[in-house]
Amino acid sequence: MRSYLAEFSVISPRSLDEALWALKQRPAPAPIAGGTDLMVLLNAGQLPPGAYLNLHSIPELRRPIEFVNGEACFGALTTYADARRHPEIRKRLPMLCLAAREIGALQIQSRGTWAGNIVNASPAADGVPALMAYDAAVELSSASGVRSVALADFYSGYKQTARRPDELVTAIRIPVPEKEAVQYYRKVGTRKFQAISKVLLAGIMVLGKDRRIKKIRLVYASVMPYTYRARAVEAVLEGRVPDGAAIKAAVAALRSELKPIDDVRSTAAYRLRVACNLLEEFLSASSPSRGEARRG
Amino acid sequence: MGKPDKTTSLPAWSATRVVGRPVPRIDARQKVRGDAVYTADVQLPNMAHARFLRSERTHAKIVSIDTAAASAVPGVLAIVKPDEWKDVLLKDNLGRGIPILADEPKYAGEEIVAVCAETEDAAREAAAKIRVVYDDLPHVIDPEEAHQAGQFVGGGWRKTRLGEPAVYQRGDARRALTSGGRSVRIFERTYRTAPMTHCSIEPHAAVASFENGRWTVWESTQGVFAVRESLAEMLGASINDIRVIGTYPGGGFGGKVSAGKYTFGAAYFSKKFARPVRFVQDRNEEFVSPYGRPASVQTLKVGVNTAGKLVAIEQKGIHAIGPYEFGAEWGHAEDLLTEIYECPNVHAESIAALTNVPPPCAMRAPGYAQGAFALEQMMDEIAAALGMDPVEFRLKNIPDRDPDSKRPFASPKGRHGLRECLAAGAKNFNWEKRKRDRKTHEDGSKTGIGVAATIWGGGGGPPAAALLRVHADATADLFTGAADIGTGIRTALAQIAAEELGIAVERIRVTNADTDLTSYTLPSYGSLTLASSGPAVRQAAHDCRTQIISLAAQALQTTEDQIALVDGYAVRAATEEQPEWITPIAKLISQSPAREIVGNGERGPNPKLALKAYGVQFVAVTVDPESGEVRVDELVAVNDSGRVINRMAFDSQLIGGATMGLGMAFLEERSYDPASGKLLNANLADYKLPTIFDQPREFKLDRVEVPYDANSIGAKGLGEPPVIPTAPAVANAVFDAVGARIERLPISRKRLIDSLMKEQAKK
Repeated sequence: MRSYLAEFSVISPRSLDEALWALKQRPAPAPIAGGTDLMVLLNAGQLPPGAYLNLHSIPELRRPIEFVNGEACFGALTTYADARRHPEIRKRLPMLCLAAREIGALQIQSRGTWAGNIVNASPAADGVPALMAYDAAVELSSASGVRSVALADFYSGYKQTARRPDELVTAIRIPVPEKEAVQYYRKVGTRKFQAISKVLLAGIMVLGKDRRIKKIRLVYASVMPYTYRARAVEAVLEGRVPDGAAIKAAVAALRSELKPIDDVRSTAAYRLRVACNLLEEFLSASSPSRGEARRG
Repeated sequence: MGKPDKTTSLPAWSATRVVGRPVPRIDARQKVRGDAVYTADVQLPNMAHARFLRSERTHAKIVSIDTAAASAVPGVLAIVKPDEWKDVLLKDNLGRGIPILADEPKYAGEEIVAVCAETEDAAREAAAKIRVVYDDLPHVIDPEEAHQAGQFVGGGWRKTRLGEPAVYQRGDARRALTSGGRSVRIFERTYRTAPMTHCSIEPHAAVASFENGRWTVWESTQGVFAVRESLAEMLGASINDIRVIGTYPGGGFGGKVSAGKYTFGAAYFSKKFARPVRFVQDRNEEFVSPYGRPASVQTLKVGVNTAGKLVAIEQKGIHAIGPYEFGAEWGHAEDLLTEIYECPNVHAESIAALTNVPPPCAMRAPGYAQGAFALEQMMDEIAAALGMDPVEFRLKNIPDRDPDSKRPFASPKGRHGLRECLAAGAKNFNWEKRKRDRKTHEDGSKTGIGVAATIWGGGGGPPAAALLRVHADATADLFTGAADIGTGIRTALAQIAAEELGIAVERIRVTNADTDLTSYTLPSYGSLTLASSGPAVRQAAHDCRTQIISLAAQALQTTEDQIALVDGYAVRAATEEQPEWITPIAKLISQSPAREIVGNGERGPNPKLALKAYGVQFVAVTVDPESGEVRVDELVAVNDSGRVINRMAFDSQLIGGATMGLGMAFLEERSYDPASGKLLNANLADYKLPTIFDQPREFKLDRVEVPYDANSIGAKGLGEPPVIPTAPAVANAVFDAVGARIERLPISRKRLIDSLMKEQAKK
């Protein structure tokens, strides 16, 4: 049953200060930006009644994508479509474009925000794995100040995040990776479009001149209860040449590191197997735009 | 109407101007602009809103229903409990009834209370505030479990007692399979298809108004007359007390053939409160209402001789048909195997297993779609075992007469639609060359090709009637009872009328599916609408044509055989003695005594021949054995539906059918939690339909127009055939790619990975 609208109130602050002040109330109003998660719950009658904080009325949050000191900076209201359309993002952070086009339909991509994707904390988020693989940092603002949290440290459990109720995501900073980085983004869903993932892997790998792995990031969605960076596997791989033996060791490490979930969309056994297959595919990939090439 | 039947006595068209051309739908503009009115759009002054409360339990006795809090919701008009409607039954095709409201719900989502209120929100709120106390009873979801417990009746159109299957038999299959010795090879396998939901874009919906002792009902339906009959029975009213107006239905696929529980609810409340009542189901209600394709478990045992001829087929089909016997006619899947190939010995048992899931109804190619998944994979498996090409194997088993009725086919001697479809499809697909293509590729992906065939009735027949009024400006009004469920039948019928009248399609306005304005016609089901109503329309138009030509002959002072009707004019061609004469049809009618021309047409009976439509699909797939993803690269569809009236609609039908078939192949399944018996994916986010990205990269569509003179327009049905071969063709292609036989639908990523692991383990 649809929710009863009279049980909801919306606060539309005219400045960031006003918004941060409003967030000091208890219970804190829940921020709403694109509404692509919350409106679904509203329609299903599952959105908790109470106060919501409209972010669209805040001028400070409405700013375009900027590049500063080798980092892309997204605002709280930057949408998937904004990223998809941005020529520099396409060139320098291609996984964000691949992720953006995997999310919902075009209408959703035009409404939904990256910050919302982070805060909603779905284990199946399509945008978060790419951001995490790029070592993105989340800027959290509150009436008592501003702090920055690495996205890789943002989640601690199912729907558990580092954001306090009085904090608002005001920026996302994404370091541009080395030019030679091999990037991999692949989502396996039930169908080609508008499907929540069964398994998703976003990966980045930088090889030294000696072909040894200087840096590697492996981020899985829909496998664990939250977007998961496979640090143990990264540690196994760092400093090694990604040859057959290394791949074997990595897959073995992944098998023991992952404790996949079982749900209506798939089983733990399927997820584990495909997670390993994707890792293998990434590590044996040579072209930087493997994910792009895989799209049907 | 009452005109004598001439529908088959009209000569076949020799050359056509409008028929056979690609004509855009006459209502395309309305639909694209959002002007088309669907039932959920109908808004009437002072309208009230109704909805059902549905059972939260899979099987339970209701101990109590507390409506105190619900009644206090402002705007609530009525709350109806099961006992108030206990004598009202919704009936299936064989007269088996189910209660509108159940006091012992037998599946999760069964209707238990009806609410009527001033607003939709008030109705929802009231429904949510009703407190029901249940006493749980045991449930069965798995049809095989119900079968083992003896809880089944015969499926299909033969009614049986509890515990007795419906049997189809010809020859002696058991004997042929046991006494054939070494000359008969036997193949056996069990296939499972999933329970599915129609997912029409427009949900089931009715708006009813009661004025001057009479109901007017706007309904999203495939058949206004069927709704009228069923509703009259439920209301205890005369059929003439009810007018049913079919709005644009927004899809039907077999799920909107007659009235629903909601129709009764709307009509009941509209009389009770003397005001219009709107009753529109939600999307999630669509998944738990008595509609959908039943799950099937089919075991096939097929014997084939060394010459590659089918000797015997044994089939046992177990189908989940819900807790009542209601709808058991849809619990069968043997039709296709009894009629597509020559086979002297057939024994098929249809078991309609009583399970605690919503009762099914017809869904696009009921029985055939499930049956083809089994038989057409079996054909592939046998061909491979015999070392024969699967196309050749099918060609070898094409019958000379209908193997079931033994009647000759309604086609010229020596021609058979399936043979010609197979030949054309193999050529369009480049089958011979592609058979030899490499299957494994550098990136680890594997490619495969597959084929499957289908047969369908689609000959249509009476009752169907049409009335045509041609006005003094040479515009016309065509009245037909047929509903257009998205096939474009309104356009095709306008084309047929335009062809006879010699005026443009745009000058014909079609009024259809209204029990007051149009005459009795069967619902648009069974792919029979064109072949039923088309000849009636041609007859009506021919009737007008004869009258116009007669007027022209008088005006031009010539004999009637000298006159042609072309582009809005009556024309007498020039001869050596006299020049061409030409006069507008409008002028002839405006100067006629009646000032308009009226023609009637009625569909006559079919000849005693086998009336069959055919089709084949060839597909190419790429399988990623790492993730279980399958991409359909190409799909070639070739159908024989006789004369194609509208080439554009023909292509659309093939694309739409095959896409729905891909949904069945890869995605669609109602997933039940066995423990609670509840449906886990009663919404379109979790029950996935294919989107445009899941369609093949390339569709190649073709037709085989085997001459067909069983009716005056030469056309057979096409609505259902294109959905039938898709899933088995895809399964055969997946087998070709990876060597794993697909025994269960849908072919999800996970199931494919599981079967690959099983294959690996075998090696």
